[in-house]
Amino acid sequence: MTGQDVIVDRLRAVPESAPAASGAPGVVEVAFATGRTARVDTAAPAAHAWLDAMSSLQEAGLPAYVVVDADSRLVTDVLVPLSVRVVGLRTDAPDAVEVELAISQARHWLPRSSPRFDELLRRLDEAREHDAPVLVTERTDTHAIIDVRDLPADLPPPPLPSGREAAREAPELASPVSFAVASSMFALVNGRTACSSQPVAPGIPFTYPDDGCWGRAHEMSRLMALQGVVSDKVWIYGDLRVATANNPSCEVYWGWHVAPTLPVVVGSSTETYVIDPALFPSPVPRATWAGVQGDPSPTLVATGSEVFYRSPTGSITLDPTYSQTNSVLTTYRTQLLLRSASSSGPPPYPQCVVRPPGTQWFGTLGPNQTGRWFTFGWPAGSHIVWTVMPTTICPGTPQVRWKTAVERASTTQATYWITVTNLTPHTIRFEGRYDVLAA
Amino acid sequence: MWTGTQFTGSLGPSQTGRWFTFGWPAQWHVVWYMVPTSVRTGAPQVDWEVSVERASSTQCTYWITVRNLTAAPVTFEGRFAVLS
Repeated sequence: MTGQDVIVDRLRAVPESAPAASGAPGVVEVAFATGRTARVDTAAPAAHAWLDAMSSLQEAGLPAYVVVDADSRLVTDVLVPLSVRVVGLRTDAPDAVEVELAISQARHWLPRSSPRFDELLRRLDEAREHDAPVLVTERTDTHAIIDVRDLPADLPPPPLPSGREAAREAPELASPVSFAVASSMFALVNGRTACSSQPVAPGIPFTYPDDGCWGRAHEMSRLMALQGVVSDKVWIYGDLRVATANNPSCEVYWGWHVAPTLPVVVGSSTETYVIDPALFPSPVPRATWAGVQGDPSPTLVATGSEVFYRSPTGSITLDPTYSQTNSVLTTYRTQLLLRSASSSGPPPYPQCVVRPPGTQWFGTLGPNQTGRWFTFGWPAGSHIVWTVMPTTICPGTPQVRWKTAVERASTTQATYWITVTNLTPHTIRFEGRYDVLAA
Repeated sequence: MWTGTQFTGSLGPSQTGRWFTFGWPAQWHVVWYMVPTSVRTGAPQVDWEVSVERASSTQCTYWITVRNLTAAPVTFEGRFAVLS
């Protein structure tokens, strides 16, 4: 068994994810800023996602965490390091140390079972003590920290909150709008959802709920402002735990969360509605939004939309040029890309979803794959039609088509055979639906 | 159930065309079917295939590929039924 080498660096050259015409067949080379290189076997299942991820990070000037085989120099994994400050360590849990990072809403863990536990804990503790920016790399699904290192001098440090209180803790700058306007703003931002299996700019990674809410919120506020609708933001702090179909474990844990809000005219008064496609399919009242986040007594704070980040202690960071927003969106689009290319596959995850009425099965198809499903015992006298609806979001092109065939299994029963074709080069999930037109 | 006509189309002899229609609620169960409006007896005039794109958590886009099976121009209606 050969050893592994880890490169944490910015990328200097990344070939397109299509197989290269030159060099060894099926193998392409990536070059890092410090001169090191690695090779990608384009036949590896996640190779194209790795190349796309490295390309996105290169374009944004962000580093990658790349695992390579020490002998062959072939890439075996790609992760996204977070440029953060360590603001808290909680050592009271028996199996892991909880690590609070800024800026990050997710709960991060340093498992006590990690072979590098002592070293990583020391690095985290030093970073916290000296308020030194670090690059922290974690497993995409579990948020288990696997690497901590100093931030290279050529990388910009994460923003330092100003320390001053937000100018407006309870702003009402946004003008009241009708529910119809709030709904159209929701549709506007939801329509910018990034493709889950191939997320590219300027898509918003709503289907990666683990982290990155402050970037999504700032982008949503920007999009609404372009339509002449001024929003505010609501920040929630607490021990947050949210059910979601877009994480393989069906839930995410947060220390805080943020989303844009609009004051909506309700009768003779106004009510604050939250625009948060990561949690809801429509605008919802602030209490509804807070109510699904698992903490019975959270702290809620309203600010203006210009606040990019508000720390739990009230310090704020602004991002008037949206440069930090774009970095956040790139980071979490890339996390989504890598998760979708991993063994978890793309969201949503069927184990997290209750089967809706009229849905017979959930299916998954690999890139350009065709599969056939059958369902038996249907009354032959019933008139039944079958349709297929993708659940994996990927705007831009058709994703699936299907054909139905029927077998008369007995005088009274029929079996339906539904052949579904994935028209895309990415894994997709879908619902197999039926309607009984006449019984 | 309710029905409607979403578009009208025309195709030259043996031609294939693709239409898309967006902003449909993804939770609706919708079926699509084509009915020629130009009269020509004796043989089928069009067939079609439907594919779907999930555009967001709430909306989808239908892509309908229609094929003219005849050696003459054909016009047709693109009809839908919302089943549930």
